[in-house]
Amino acid sequence: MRDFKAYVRSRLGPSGLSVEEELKIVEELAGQLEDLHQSLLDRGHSVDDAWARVQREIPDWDKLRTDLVAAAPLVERLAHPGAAPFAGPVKQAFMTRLLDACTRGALQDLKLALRSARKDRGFALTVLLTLAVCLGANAAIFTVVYSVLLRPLALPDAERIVVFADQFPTIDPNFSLLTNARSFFDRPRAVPAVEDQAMFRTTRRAIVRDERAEQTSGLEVTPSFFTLVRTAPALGRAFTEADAEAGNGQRVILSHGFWQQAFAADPGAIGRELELDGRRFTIVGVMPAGFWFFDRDVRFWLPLTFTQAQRLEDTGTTRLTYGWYQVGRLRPGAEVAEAQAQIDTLNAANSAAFKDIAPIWASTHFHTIVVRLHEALVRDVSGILYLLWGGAAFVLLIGAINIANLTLARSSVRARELATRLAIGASGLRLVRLLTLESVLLSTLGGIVSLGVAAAIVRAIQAQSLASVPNAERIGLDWTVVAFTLASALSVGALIGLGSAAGLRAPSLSRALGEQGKGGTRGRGARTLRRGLVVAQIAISVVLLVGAGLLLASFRNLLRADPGFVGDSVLTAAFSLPQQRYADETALRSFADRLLGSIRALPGVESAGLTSNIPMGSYGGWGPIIADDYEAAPGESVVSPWRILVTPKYLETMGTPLVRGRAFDERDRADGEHVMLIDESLAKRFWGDADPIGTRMYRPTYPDDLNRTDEKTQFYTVVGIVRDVQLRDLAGKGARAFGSFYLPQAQWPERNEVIAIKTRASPETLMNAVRAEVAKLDPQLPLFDARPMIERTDLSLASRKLALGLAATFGVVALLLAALGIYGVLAYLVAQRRREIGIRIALGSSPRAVFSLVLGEGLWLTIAGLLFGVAGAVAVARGLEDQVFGIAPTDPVVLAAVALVTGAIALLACVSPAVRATRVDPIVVLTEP
Amino acid sequence: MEATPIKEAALKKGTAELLVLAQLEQGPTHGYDIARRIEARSEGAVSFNVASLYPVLYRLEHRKLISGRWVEKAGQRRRRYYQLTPSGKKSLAAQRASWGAFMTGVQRAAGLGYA
Repeated sequence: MRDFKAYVRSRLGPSGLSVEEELKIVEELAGQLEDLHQSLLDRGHSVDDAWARVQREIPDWDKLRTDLVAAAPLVERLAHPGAAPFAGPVKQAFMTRLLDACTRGALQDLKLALRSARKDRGFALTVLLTLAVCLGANAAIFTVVYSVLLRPLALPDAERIVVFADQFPTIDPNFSLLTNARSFFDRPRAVPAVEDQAMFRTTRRAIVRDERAEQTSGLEVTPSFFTLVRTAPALGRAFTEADAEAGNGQRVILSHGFWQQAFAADPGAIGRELELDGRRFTIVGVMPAGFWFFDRDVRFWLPLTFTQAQRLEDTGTTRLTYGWYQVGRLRPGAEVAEAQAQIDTLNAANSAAFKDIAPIWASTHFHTIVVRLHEALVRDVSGILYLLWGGAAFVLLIGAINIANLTLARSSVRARELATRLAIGASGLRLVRLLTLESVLLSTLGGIVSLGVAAAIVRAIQAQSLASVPNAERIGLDWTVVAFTLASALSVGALIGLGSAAGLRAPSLSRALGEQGKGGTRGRGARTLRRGLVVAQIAISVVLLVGAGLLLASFRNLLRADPGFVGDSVLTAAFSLPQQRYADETALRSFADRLLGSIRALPGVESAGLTSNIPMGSYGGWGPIIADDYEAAPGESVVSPWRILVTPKYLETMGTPLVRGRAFDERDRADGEHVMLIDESLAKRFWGDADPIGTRMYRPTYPDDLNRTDEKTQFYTVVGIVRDVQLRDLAGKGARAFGSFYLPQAQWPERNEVIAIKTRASPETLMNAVRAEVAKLDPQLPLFDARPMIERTDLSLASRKLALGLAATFGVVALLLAALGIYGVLAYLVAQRRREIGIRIALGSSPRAVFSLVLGEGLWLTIAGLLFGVAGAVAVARGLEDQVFGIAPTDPVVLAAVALVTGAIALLACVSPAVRATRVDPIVVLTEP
Repeated sequence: MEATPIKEAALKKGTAELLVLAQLEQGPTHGYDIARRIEARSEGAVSFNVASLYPVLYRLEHRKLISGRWVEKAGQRRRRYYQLTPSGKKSLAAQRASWGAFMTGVQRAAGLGYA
């Protein structure tokens, strides 16, 4: 009996159609040929005759195949990689088929994926939520990291701009960006690695508009600045060297925003005049819209002028007075290391050349650091941001493990369905595509929802006042972040899909068919993997929670720490008396006295005082000081604490306690003996525990010999010791090396003041009254930075609070996900071992024993996770050193607390599967097929 | 006049669908039987071999003008039986009309008499 099907199959060859279709065609063709053959035999032909006739029935098999393929609809076209080589119209048909296969088949699979997702709503929802939360957190943190740290400054080639930052570590342990005036004149020659360089200073001037004086920020810049930033004014011109000559008329360049506000974007503003601090300046240019450098609040630029001494002399004064910034642009091909080496050489040469200044440089360990401007600006926050990003990544890892486990468990259940699909003709490739499509669909949806979560988190972040975070205003979701998130979602989905498909290789599938769906991802290897993953999840949660716990403890310590002042009910505001109207000391003193007099007379005012340096502000200077009876050893570093000028009653207003002696009062007048107050740190530095009241200190003027004095040396007598005050940050960051000293304003009048007022009245009404009083004395004097002392403290804590909030959120989410993970694994284990449990119960095991069995399993996993977690937390402790305050990164209390909480939650998650295990009905289980 | 067997591929191709549909009008049947019916009713003038007929069946089925199903009769191999669908009936009527008009026109223009 001829095998007509085999004959047809061999002659027809691969058509490139789907398996089902080919089967159908082959069967039909074979059938018709067989019918023909039989009818011939019936009519009396011989077998050979009949067979020959059948063979002639289809003269051109290629043509037949082509016709069939051309007749086949798009529905059934699936690319067949093993098809015979094609050419011409057959190739065209094949290519069309291929395209249709990719799209139409995919569309079908998409529908299938949607259907299966809808069917298994619990699974889909869990995956969606997990992804949304994890990806959302990552996207939010990435937004912040990108906006603050990674996105380059908005200047041409911004990454090539470097700062020359002088450091005096023994005086100021913080990273400083400043340099002195002489740097402008000798560094360009000596550092050829840098091609352009400029110096600038921040400045504040009062600008009167609409009869209101406003303190406005600006920059004084050398003309080379505009070359450096490769940006010329959009209107008018940049500064020339002539503009920078001292006394050469006043010129000003405006920012675009300011020009729009003050001059209504009128091009005729060029050549007009603007009054700054009462002096007239001619407007020569307007910068382009969107330009900013160093400080977003800058509204104007002035030419930076140097004095004759600064241009020509190298003295202690010109080389050791600080307040400028120096930036340069790296030559193409030059690197930071090169510039650093050249600067080091120059500093060494200067030490050799300037023998009278060299001792100061040596004793203070002076050195210059060349650093990229962008890096310098974000130095303080990059540490915590990267840590938070790591935390978010860990959360994502935990979530991904959960999803992977869920998918694996589900796919083993689906093994039967998938095996059937294979048997009726779906190709393995198609199955993989189906599975991948399912997980990609879910993960893409999850990715889209996560963008919403990320947006919410980012908005919450933006709601915090982030003045201390550089580039904070740039934080916002942009296309990079969206792309990054969707890409992460797609990769997670693809990985999981491919992974679960890989877990379903053919042999396990046939086993699955035989074992009725219980197989697939069973097996020792899979079980250990599952357990290991859960342990990892718990361990990672522990690490995250320990981090959050440390930040929380640090924050609490900060709030409890004694800052040296009492900010409750204290209002502050700053003002700056311009040279123009307050030329000499008498004028300054007179204003201060009159202002304080009228403020104190206001209703509700308990006390008031003036200072040059308000805590948690950014004002104030420092100066060298040494005790008269102190013998500085050769090479010993000078001490240069905060130098704070205050009026009597200021310290009382601020609640800074007097530890010994007396505070300033009316005795300390201009013509009186020069007196001073010192704080505890300074007292300890020079006198240890001895009583310094009555002894003198002086300002050393000879850099090469700190002990040398002459008739011009300024001496001050110590009349009292006050508590240490944190002037910049509650944790002590930004503090000088050795405390502060106070001088009376009556003897040393100050131009840049902050007023502190203690009052029970409402801040708003009082501030208005204060403004009125100031306006009465000088209508052109603006009051700025007006805020309650408490607000200052809160602002200084803002970024810490934010970091704490984020870390805590991550820790909690991680723990919940890990709990879900352990629940899932135990539930799966219980389901797998139902037979065994049923047998145990049938043989007499009590429910309690079964419960303990399952719970015991969970307990071991939890303990293992806790151990690894604590070990991990200790290992990463070093990375957290900079972020904690008043607590060691390996604090045992925090570790124990976290371990306890995590263990409790994990065990709680084990209860439900354990209870379900006790409910297993042995009869049902044992009689299952 | 004896009709010569029409072998012109073009002619056959154009009428194949109409012929197949028309055979199924009388009732469902399998592929080989359709070919036999055409040959019989045209009295041998038109005959299709499997290579020409099957693609037509295949195409018609996928265009849903006919529907096929496997039928297994006792003692026989299973055969695919085709039958007209409602849209197939409509198409048959339409094709009859257009072929009818065409043939009338050709008859008149070519001076064909009735056989």
